[in-house]
Amino acid sequence: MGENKGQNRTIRINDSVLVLLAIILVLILGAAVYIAPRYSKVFTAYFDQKEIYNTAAAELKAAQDENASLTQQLEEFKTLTTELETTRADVFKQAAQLEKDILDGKSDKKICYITIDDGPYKRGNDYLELFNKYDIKATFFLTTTNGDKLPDQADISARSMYPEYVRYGHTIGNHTYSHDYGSGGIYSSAKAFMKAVNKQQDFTKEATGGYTPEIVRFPGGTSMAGNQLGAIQDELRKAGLGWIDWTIDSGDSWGADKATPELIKKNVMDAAKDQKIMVVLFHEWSKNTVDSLPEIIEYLDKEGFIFLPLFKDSVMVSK
Amino acid sequence: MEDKKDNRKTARHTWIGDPEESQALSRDTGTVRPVQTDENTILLQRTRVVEKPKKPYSGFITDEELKDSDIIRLEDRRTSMIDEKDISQTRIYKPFVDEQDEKPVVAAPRGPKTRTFVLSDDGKARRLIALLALFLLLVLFEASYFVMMKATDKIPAQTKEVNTQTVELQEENSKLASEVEGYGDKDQITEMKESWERTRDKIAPSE
Repeated sequence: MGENKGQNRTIRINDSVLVLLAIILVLILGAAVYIAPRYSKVFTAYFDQKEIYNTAAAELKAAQDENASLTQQLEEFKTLTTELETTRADVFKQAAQLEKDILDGKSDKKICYITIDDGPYKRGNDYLELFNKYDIKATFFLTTTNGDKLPDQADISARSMYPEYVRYGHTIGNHTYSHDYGSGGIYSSAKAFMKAVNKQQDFTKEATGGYTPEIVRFPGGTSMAGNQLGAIQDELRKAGLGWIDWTIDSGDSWGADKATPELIKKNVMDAAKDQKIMVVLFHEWSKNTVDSLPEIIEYLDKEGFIFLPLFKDSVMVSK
Repeated sequence: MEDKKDNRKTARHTWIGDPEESQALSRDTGTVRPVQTDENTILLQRTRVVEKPKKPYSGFITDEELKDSDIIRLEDRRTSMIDEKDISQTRIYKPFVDEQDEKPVVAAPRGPKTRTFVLSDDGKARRLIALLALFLLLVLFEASYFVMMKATDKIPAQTKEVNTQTVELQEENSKLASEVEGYGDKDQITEMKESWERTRDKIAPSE
């Protein structure tokens, strides 16, 4: 025959095991018959549910990623803001020492505090842009004489300007809410004055999201307070507020005809020759001031003046 | 005696017979022949071919039984009626000797009955493997059905849990986003910080 049939394989199975195997096979076949018509439905239902779950899981993952990103951003902002505040605090601390040194004759440096009264105005943006260009900071004494409308642009909310001053690093001062120093106005009594101050404090805090002014400028100056000055100053001390007038009046409020850019520049530049620490009065509504400031800043910078915003611990602020 | 070729056993029955029976009788179940004779007795022996026995016969004939002719006759009658194919026991005959080493016959222990399957060629082996693979696939098919069914019941609850977490996170993200937005522009803040640093440098004491 010549064929290689291979070796026979023998399988021995116990009778009871054989019966068990037979039962199992029958069950498997029976289950297959039962499942076959139902499989498609279960299959579809499973994958539909799975797809819904996967979509939900993807949304959760996206939300988690967004959460992580926002948390990180928030941490970065907090760190950055803390560093900024720390640096700002350092500047004021050093500025206080510098003032002392200047007054003691220990330093040749000079300080100029530019103060801008009666804002906010839409023109305030011009000042902000200008100061940003020269990298200097000033002090804006704000009031709310026109309610929540900018006096030179009624359709713009005055409240919307407040955060801008803070964002550019300027100091916001309190120029009272009404700026009404006429008869029966803020100088009628210390109580009337403080009412106007407190109202302006609340407005500033609300508009800036927490910034609280520490320095008050009397509308028209402290000389306008008359016999109420002492009482008002006592009240200001009780409230923890300082107050300040000015050392140089730019003259920009002397009337449209008189307060020309040339006059403004001359007033400031001439007065600066004798000053080591000066507080200059300007008004936000004055276009001539905006036009004069570049030349004034460059001159004062050349004369060695350092431009700083006011701070409560400054020697120039009365307490 | 076992004939291994056709799987048969033979049994011999010996009894005391009479002269008439001494004639060899050809029976369907075997042949009879005298095995011993003396003056008064004839021992006849019949040899029968029987099928493979299923269990051993536990009894045995003693000398005393042989002497009992009634018993022998009954025995003969009984065995003559047995069908070859239905034999289920075999007789163990004691030799007619004085010494007997009688040992009780103990039935061999019955092991489990097994069936033997022979895979005589590769084709049969492959078909068996294919059949087993088919049944394995069926089992997997059925298992997948039950797994999917169970999973389908659980998934909606899991989805609901995930959706709840997502909603909570989205609310938190909304608050975080507002907080982040409140800080303003990061570049501007950085620029402002640097501006303050430059101012600090200006007012720093001269060395």
